[in-house]
Amino acid sequence: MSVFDEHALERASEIDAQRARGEPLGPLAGVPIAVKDNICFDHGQTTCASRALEGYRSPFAATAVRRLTDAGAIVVGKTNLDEFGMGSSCEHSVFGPTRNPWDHSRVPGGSSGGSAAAVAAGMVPIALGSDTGGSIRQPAALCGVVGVKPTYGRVSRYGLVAYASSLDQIGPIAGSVEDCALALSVMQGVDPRDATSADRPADAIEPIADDHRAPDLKGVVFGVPSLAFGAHNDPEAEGVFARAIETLRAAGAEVREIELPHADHAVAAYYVIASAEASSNLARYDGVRYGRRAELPKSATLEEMYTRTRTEGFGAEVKRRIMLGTHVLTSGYYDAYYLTALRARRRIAEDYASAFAAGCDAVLMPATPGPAFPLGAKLTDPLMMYAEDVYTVGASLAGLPAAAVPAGLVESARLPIGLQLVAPAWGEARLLDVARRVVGVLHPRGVPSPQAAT
Amino acid sequence: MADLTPQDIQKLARLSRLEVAEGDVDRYRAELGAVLGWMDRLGEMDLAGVEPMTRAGTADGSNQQNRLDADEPGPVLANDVVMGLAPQAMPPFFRVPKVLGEGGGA
Repeated sequence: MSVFDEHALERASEIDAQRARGEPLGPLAGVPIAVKDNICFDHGQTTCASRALEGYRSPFAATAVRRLTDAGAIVVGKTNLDEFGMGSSCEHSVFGPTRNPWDHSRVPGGSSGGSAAAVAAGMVPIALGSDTGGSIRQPAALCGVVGVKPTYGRVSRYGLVAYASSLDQIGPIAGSVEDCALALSVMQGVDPRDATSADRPADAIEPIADDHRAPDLKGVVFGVPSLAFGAHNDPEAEGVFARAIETLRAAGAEVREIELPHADHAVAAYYVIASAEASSNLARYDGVRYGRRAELPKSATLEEMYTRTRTEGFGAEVKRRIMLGTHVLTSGYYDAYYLTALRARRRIAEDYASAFAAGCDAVLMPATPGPAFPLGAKLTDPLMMYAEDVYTVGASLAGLPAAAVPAGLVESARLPIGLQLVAPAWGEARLLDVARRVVGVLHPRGVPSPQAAT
Repeated sequence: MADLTPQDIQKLARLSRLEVAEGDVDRYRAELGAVLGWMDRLGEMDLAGVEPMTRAGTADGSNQQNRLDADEPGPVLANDVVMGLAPQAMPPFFRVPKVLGEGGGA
């Protein structure tokens, strides 16, 4: 979306000078990072891939970004997304789609597709995404990299452009679990500017030392729900998942079959809640205070200005979700859709709580039903696109931390498949330690990369 | 599939402050109708007596409390910075089409 080459070189020179003077350096000194373009940075534009914010230059940086740059990270650019985070393919962008580094005819996933593709292509070691219903984990999986959605409230949302406020979280995408842990340890913690950031002591989510021993999973209990298998999956992808489970078992993990009895309804509940919150959050794009205003004759009324500005500013999927959200909040439908979805949300959260109470360290599932799909394949059918989120929305609705890690490749097309681990609230330290070992067990010779394909 | 009339679509558009051209009404009826019909599946669930969960993190009791901050003024953006972001401004004010009197529409 934008590349900050001069800014990056300036910052790098400053850090070089600090080093030359013998000053202490931050844990991310000189590390180039990319930032999804719905996260504010006080340099360049923040567009959300929308015409509505064409030319918008944020006067401030998001707390998560500020903490990374304070630790020495250098923002080298902003990455593409589905408009305002609404999509699972990175095709709903006014700037056009991002392509998957593994196969340029396929999508990178979404909505943080630009960040996942940038990491997979080796442009940056760490990129920031945002995850509302899977927007970090799904693209990370489809691009063969690691993505972590933190517990709701761990990372400040200040400066993250709001889509669905009860679900949105900023999180890292990186080539390794260790790099995600490092970024998360820097970003986490209470922020006076986000009342939903949790006021609790920062956990030690330290970068995990590589002790050069073959990792094992002795004593780790995974719960695999029956949802993980079935006709909604690509058969070859399901095979990769099944083989991964056997490998984890051979490394000492205990794998139990569990039930998430309400999981079948999670995607529908998610789209009711997310659309409802979106219709409210996006009411702010009225062409008055910032963003783009439609050109209108002098005789136009205020309401005509609002309507024309929004009609020209939003793309098809955003309009669809605003109208859906408006509908489910309309009197007469509020109980049937919105309150019902909120009740379902509690049941879905309780399913996960039961699994953890029964002794599971993490719920283990595929991250997606299949590998990256061809550009355009699901673009005209919203329900087909929404079904892409079947494995990711549960952790979002329940506010739980979840990580997507590379599971292996679908051999026929040489495309990556992701494994998802969902952990108890505030359990990131344990989650990432287990995830690191899972990656080590599954990929003893290193995680495959798209570069090796060419 | 939930049945939305053309009037329903125009009402939703008006409430959303969006225009739907006459030629697009049927497309919206089909698309929104299909999604709402699919959302109707939520009605299959037995949810009697379940308290609606309005925010994340409440299922296990963590992150349940609203955090209250000290009521002190913090840093704010300067007026010229804010005006610089506005599509039309007459500093220190935002400029909008006429609201009151003849020609005012809101």
